[in-house]
Amino acid sequence: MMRTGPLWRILKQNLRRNIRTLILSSFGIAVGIAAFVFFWGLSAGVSAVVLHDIFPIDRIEVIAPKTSITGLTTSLDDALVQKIVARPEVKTAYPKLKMAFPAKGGGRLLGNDLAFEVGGFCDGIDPTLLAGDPGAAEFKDWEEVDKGKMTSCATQPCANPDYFCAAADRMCHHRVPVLVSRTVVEIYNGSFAPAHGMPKIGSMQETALLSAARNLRAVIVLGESFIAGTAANLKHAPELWEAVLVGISTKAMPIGMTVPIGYLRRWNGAFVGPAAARSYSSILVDLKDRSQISTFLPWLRQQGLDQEESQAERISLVITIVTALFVFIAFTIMFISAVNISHTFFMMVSERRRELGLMRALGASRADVWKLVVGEAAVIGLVAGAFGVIAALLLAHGIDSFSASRLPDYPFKPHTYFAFSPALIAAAIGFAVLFCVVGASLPARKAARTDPAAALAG
Amino acid sequence: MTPPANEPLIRLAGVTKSYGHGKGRQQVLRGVSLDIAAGELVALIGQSGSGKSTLLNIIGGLDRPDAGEVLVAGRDLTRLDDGNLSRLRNERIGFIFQAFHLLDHLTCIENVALPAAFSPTSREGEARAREALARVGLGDLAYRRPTELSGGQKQRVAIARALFNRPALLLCDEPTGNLDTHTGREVIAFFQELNQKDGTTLLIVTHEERVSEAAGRVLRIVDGQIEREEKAA
Repeated sequence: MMRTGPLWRILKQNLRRNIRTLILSSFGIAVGIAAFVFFWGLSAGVSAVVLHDIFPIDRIEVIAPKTSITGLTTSLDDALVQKIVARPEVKTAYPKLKMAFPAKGGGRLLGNDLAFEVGGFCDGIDPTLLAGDPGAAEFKDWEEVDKGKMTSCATQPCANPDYFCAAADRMCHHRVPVLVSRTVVEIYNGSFAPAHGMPKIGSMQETALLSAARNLRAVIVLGESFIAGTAANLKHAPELWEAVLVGISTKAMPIGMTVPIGYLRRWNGAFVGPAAARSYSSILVDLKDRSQISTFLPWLRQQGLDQEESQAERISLVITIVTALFVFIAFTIMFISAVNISHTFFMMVSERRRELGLMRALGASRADVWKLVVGEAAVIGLVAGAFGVIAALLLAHGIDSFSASRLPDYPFKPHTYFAFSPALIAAAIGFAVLFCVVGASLPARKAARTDPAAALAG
Repeated sequence: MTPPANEPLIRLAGVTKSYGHGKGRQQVLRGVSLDIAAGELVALIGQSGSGKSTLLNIIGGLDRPDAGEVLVAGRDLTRLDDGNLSRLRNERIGFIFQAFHLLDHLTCIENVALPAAFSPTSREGEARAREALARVGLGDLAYRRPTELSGGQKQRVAIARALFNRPALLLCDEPTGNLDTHTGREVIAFFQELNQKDGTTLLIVTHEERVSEAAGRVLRIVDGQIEREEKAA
């Protein structure tokens, strides 16, 4: 049995003398691996942007069906939330409440006055949904936090700049924490900013914007609208609240703003009535395991509920199909290369017949000879795989650089289109070795079976 | 492993070997039996195609007989699996060929140390290879490649390689066939020295008179059978 040291020494000697042939025969493996890593990395990168930033896929949004044969629809209330949470597949569930009455907003952004409609573009979520995300510390129902501790501003302004003096009760209220989605930022960057000659918000400006947001005065006027006549018949007089942007989050509504759900419960109750405070627009459900969706969805439909149509599943399927196609092409290239490697090794074994016979005479067993040939193929696979990976990384870097410097900004333009995980790199090199070893296995078998006496006789 | 006392180093009994199939089948060895004691220097002579090299390959474990018993150093070669047979070749048997069979992409010292690569235990390859090269008088050519050597030097490197593991048995197939008279004589003298000083057993296949003259015993093989055995004068 050959020891590793001598095996490696002989492998090096053999590789050195056939370097040109081996480079040529392993070229295809390097190209195949480069294609595999490139397309898989591209798919993973695009998936990360599409399925994380644009269409988050990590949770189900439960809604009441828009139409029903009986005309009756299930109400999304706290009892239903508890019922969903009690399901064995469910980790947790968060209700979502939409603003049920007209409202408008205004403020200054990057030196420009802005006015916008809020009614229909505002919802509320449970602050615990944001746990661990940036802005989570500020995103809370401050009315509940400050209950019984509010100070009057009837005679003097509020001391804390995070608070404003509400005209209705002359008390200092914490400004309403607001989240916006990345979609809003992208729409602003892609359409609004160029059209109005305003600066774009990049990742650095985002950080600056959030830190500066504390000093900005944004207002929400509840019960008023830019759309004439829509604010009639409300149960409460218009009310002005100040707001503060605390984060950009995938959990915010795609187009609009998101506030802690407590605010909307109170506002909907005051402006529309108690039913509007209790009836949620949807319920976000986190499953313990994504695969349990197959048992959860039928139960959901039995309850007269539905899943919010999401593009995520469809886009995920398209990405999977396209990735599979490119990976198939990459593997076809590698398969053809493995056949080429096999051919090269068959030739090499024939050329080295005497040498193999000599090694057998000097004490090499059949297994040793097999290891020598397969080991050579494995080293070629390792090197070709490494070159393929490097080529893919360089190509990806080139495309990212080109995109950053030459392509115009567009919504959700990523910093990189690729995601190369260590597992992908390891798998790619593993495949390169595997294809080379498989290609060389038949020649190695032939080499191991070489009759030493006949080989030495020539 | 050494053979039990008073048992020969090599014992063949009724060894037969054929090549080919059907009508083309040719019997090369026809029931060969012989004993060679440890420390003997034996010449195996015969015409081309008489079965000399086949017999040598069977004794060296490079080929297997169709029938018969082959004992070398107390081991029945016909019963050994490939791993054990390879180990026996590596540790107990040295081969010397007419065509030298040196690897041109390796230096002399790398050629000589090649058997160490297939030994599960040998870890002193370079030192031992240097010693073997010095023994054949080529210590200063250790880092030359075979292409830079004369025929005689090449054969001496091949001898050094055969001696690397200090084998009990040297099997030589026409070792002087590619050498001039003078160099051939030197090689034979070296074999005699090995035999007399170290007690190494040598079985030399040859058709040259001068080689058989140096042997202690001469076996003549004709049509696959040991026809005659001559003791040296």
